[in-house]
Amino acid sequence: MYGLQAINAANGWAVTIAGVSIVFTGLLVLAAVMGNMERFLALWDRKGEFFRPGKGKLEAQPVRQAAAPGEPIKPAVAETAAVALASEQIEAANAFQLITNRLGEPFSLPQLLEKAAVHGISHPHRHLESFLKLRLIVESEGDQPGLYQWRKDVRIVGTEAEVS
Amino acid sequence: MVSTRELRELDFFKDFQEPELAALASIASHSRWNEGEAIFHAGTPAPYLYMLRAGTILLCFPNGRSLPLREGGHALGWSSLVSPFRYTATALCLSDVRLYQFSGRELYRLIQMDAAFGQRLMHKIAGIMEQRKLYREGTSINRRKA
Repeated sequence: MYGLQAINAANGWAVTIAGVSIVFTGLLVLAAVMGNMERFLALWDRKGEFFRPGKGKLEAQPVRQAAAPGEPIKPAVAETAAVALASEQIEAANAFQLITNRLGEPFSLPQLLEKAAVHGISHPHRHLESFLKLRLIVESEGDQPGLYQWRKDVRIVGTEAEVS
Repeated sequence: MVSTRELRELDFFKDFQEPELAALASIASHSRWNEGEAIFHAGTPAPYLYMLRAGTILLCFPNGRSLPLREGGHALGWSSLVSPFRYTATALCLSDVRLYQFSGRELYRLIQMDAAFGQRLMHKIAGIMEQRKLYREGTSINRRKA
C-alpha cells in the first residue's frame, strides 16, 4: 500500500491532527506566559507578603456602623484620597513599589534612588520629588525619622480616567 | 552678584541687620545644579555653606536616613563652619536647584570682624545641627534590618 491508502490504514490523519494540535497548544501557552510575564514576576516579588505573619488581616476594611432602631444602616466607606498621575508617573510609581516591596517599609530614599538607577528607571529623582510633594510617599512616624513609607489611604488614578 | 534684597527674603537671615546682610551679599555667589547631581558628598572637605533658593534637595545621611529640603532659605553645609570641616551628608538634587554659596573661609573672616554677627550666625547653625541630629545619629537602616 502506498500514498493516501497507507496513511488511511495507519491512522495517519489522526496522528497529524494530534501533532498539529499539540504544537499549536504549546505555542499558545508559551505566548500567554510570555505576555503575562510581567504580572508573574510582580507576584513572585510579592511572594514574601503571603507568608508574612498576619496574613489574612485585612487593612482599612469598611465597618458597618451600628444603627439606632428605625434608622437605615449606612455602610461606612474607607476614606481614600485619589491622586491623578500621568502615565509616565504611574509607571515610575509601580516600579518604585516593586523596589520598596523588596526593601521593606519603612525604606531609605537614597537606597530607593540607587536601586531605581540600577533598574534603569528614567528620571527617578524627578519622580521621587513629585511623589514626596503629592504625599504619596511620607516620612515614617514614630522613632524612624528619615525613613519613608507609601501612604495607605491614597489611591493612584490616571489623568485619562479623570478626564473620562 | 547677590543683592541684600535677595538675602533678606530668606527666612534664615530674618534676624540679621542690614550691614550684616550687605557683608554676606558681598561674599555670596549664585550656584546652579541640575536634577540628579550631588552638590557635595558625605565625608568630603566642606569649603562652602549653601542657602537653598529654589528647588528640592535630598540630604542623605550615611546611615540611610534622609531629609528633603524644599523651601527656600534652608541652609546646608554647616560643616564649613564646624570642625572637622567635612560634610556629614550627601546633598542630592531632586530637581533643578539654585543656591546661594558662601565660602567658609570668608564667613570666618566676617565672624572675626563682628562678634555679634558671629554669635547670631553660629546660633542659627547650632539650631540646624540640633534639628538634624536625629537624622544624622539615627540607627543605620542596614543594622536595623539585620
